[in-house]
Amino acid sequence: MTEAIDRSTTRPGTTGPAWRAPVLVRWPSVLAVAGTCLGWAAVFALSRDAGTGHVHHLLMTSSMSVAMMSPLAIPVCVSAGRSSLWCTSSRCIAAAYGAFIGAWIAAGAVLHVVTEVAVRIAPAEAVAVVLATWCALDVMSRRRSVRLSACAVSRPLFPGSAGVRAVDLGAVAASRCVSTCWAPMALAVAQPTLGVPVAVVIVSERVLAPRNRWSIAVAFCAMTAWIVVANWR
Amino acid sequence: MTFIRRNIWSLGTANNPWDPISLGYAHAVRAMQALPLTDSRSWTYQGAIHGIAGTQPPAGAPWNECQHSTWYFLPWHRSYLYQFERIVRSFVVAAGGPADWALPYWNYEAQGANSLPRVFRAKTLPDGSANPLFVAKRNGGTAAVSINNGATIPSSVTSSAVAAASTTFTTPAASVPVGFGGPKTAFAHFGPAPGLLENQPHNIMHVFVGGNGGLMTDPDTAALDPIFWLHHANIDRLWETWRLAGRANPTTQDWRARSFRLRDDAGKTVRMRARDLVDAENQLDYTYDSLGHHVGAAPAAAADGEPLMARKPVMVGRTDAPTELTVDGAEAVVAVGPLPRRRARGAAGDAPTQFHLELADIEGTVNPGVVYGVYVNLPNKPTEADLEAHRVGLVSLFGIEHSTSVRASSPQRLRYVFDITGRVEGDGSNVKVVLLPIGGLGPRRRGAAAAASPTVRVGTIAVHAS
Repeated sequence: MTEAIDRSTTRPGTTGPAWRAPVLVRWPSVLAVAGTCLGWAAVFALSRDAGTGHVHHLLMTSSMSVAMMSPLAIPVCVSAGRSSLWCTSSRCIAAAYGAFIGAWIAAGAVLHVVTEVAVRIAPAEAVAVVLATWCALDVMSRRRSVRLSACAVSRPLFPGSAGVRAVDLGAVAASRCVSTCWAPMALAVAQPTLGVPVAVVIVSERVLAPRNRWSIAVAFCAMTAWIVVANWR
Repeated sequence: MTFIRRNIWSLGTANNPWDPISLGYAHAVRAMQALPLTDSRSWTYQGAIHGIAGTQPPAGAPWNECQHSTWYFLPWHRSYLYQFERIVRSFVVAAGGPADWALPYWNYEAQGANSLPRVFRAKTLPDGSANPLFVAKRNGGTAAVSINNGATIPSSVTSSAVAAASTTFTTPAASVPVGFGGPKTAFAHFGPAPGLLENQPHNIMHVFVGGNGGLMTDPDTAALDPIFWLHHANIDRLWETWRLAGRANPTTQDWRARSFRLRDDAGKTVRMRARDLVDAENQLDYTYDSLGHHVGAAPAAAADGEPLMARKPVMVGRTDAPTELTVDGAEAVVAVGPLPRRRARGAAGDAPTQFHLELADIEGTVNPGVVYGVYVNLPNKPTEADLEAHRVGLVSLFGIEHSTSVRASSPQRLRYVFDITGRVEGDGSNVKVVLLPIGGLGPRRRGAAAAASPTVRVGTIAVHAS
């Protein structure tokens, strides 16, 4: 028997004319998608530049934070959009996204400093191997799936203080996200050539988890192997 | 062999309610209650699979795995009942009971069946020993007007009409309207919002039967009340009825491939996939003696991808502070702001045509054990007719213990959505939302007692337009 059409799931609001409303009200994830594109553009532009100073490194880390973590901000933007009055939704979505990404840029800067210290103690490749192994083990732990569930945050955005509460929503979501994804981010900071694969894996984890955590763990193991093989000679 | 689950009210007689199926269940429950928690066939272990508070599960034990407010609610509970039924049958047969024993169901919607079945009210078995099906911790305890004394349950509480009319199984997790089976989520002990069948009659009956402090009111103790299993058999029957009426279960792999971990009648771990649980008779060898009045009814609308709402819903009004909900109820006014307009003018005009009321961000540590009616624009000093006309749904707060970090490591606040189309006048109008207790049983707490009872905070009361 073929089951060509999934008749059970319908997405509200897929027919009929669109609202006359700001673009963020209609598509709350636009900002996060734009952030992802701009972040990666900045990462590639900076990687062509041969700068080696602290400012260059911090700019690189910040761009990487925006590029890698913007997709994870999509649920935050959707939550802010659906919890606020439509005429204030744009402001709330922007505030929540700004707080989420701002917190991640700050976390990225801290991870950058910590990684800088770590590579003075041990070779950068060894630090990356430890981090990638940690990521693979963490993916398999039961506590991680609980932390992933906790990343979905909702807050009442009362009309009188919607902007402030949206910032709080973004910051709380970011704090939970940092506690879940600090290790992959640190791995990308320690080994910038792994930025793209790490970003793909952490987004895939959100989409697939917890059903396919084995494949996520295997991906991190593959990164570990790649670092070892690439630096073996 | 196809096992037939029978209506508990069709078994036995008024003079002698103890038939072989009920008696077999009672003896099996007693035998299971005598086993230690470490035995997967024990009553407490089976209850812990649904939920248990404050006890660390042994390694590999599938405890605290019940699925609520998620689209796995129906298949998970079907697998849970299926394995439980096999365990009980093994005890029934071992005691010389019928080999074709099947779990009975409680169809509280049927005329004359809207009170607790007699065998669950009797304090003793025919042989004079204590009846394990009797539980004192139910709504009203043993007061004159209580579930245990045969109080009738209002039809507004038992009705499954809203769920039965739904043609869509699921919607996205953040969606304002919800489908029959719950929102599309990951495997979740408690998800973002109950589906229509889960909210009513499932959640409502849990709290109406359990009342304040009753076993059925709390998900972590609910399965310890023997009536739990008959209640869920009825929910399972309503799902089968819905499917046989031509409605479609999910066909995506996310849902169909999801497996549920349980223990069988030999104590072994078994996994059952949702795709193997969609057709009770052909896949699981059981059916019901009656599949309800919805069978054969044409679907109200084509299920073929028709959206629940014509346009993406937007929030057009919300309260500007949290609302405290006590055992006496709550009241709030939502000011509806400017409504958005559509880009193209159609025959239906360019203004929103559908409205939904959302109660969300609800948190509390203890369920007050009250079922609330939700009323829109209810007049002051309402008559019974007013209450009937202005009621848009019921809420029972089932699972609220998991809405804060007191009981849950990743708390999920409760959320309910009701269709209020036709009850919103337009831009600048006020929507008065009132929550009032429904058909209270036993002594109602008033004054200081009511004030001292734990309150529930409703963070969001909002109106959505589409």
